Amino acid sequence: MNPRKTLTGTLTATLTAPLTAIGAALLLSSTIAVADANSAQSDAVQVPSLKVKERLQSIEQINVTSEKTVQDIQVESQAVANLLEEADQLDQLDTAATDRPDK
Amino acid sequence: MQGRAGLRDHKQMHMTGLTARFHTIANLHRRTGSGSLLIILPIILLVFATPVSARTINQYPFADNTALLADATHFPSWAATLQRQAEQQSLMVRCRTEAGSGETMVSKAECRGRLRSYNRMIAKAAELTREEKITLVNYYINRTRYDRDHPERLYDEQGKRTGVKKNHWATLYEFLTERGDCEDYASAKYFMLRELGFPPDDMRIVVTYETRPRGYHAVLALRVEQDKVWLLESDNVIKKRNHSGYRYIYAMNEHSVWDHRTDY
Repeated sequence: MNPRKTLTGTLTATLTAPLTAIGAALLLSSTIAVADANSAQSDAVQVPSLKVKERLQSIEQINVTSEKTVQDIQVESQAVANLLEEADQLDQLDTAATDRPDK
Repeated sequence: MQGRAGLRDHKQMHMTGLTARFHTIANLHRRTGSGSLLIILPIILLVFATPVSARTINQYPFADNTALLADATHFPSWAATLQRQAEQQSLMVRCRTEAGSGETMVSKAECRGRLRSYNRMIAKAAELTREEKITLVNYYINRTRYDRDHPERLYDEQGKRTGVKKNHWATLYEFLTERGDCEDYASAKYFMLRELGFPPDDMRIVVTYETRPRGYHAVLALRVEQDKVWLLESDNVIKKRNHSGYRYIYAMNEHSVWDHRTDY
């Protein structure tokens, strides 16, 4: 075994390893960045041929009605839970009709 | 079923991506030897931490400026609501400041409904953290009774029917004193958060199409960080990461209207 060759090999490996690693990291990061940019682009909508007024009118015709059942999720913050309890008490005093029933 | 399958596929894709990245790093380590571990470790952190923390499934595209349609003043029903909201703001403040002070500038009838509890929440919310304020607003507004919109016929100056106004966007005062429906929960949260100091540029009332329950629905999208959006739902859920199942149709705030439709 040639000791000079072994030394050169070790040196080359020591010098190229970090460069290879950095290069791989840059490649990976850029791949992820490009993928993210592409996914964001796919949401883009632009229809210049249609007038803004027509689009606004069609938006106005959409009937937004969907109702969701209130979920009984416990509030993590005690301060918020206390405030909500206080609000319930005030609402019961002021109006029984506007409390939202659990559906 | 499609939504659930889509979510499963997405998770599988995400897992496959993570596995591939792990193999890439493992191969890299094999080739370069254990001496380069100090270099590889930060890379592992970079590769794993950045995309996972930044990604949300189907996140509302806040930064998509191509969807910008018009100034809010060009959307008649919403513009009218914004105008009424500004007019009623002084009444709400008077209800707050004059209540219990012995002054009789505002009548009890004007300060009815949930106004007293609302004013109490606003006063006490100053002591809360930003996230607590968001939670409080979501839960507090969702406690109002649901009342369906009644479509209103529209006529021109000659009395000819021109269409039907399908949505009545309530002001915060109207919502607290008279109830509201789906879109009103989202707009009430918007106005309440505005009063708590949240900037309009970080909030949008978003109309979505959903399959469960099927129909058009409104949520409040709130940008909590540069690339992080939360959806405040009318069922008390705050969707922080998983926004699957929403098809974004249009959105608005006090400045602008955005049209997200691709199949118009």
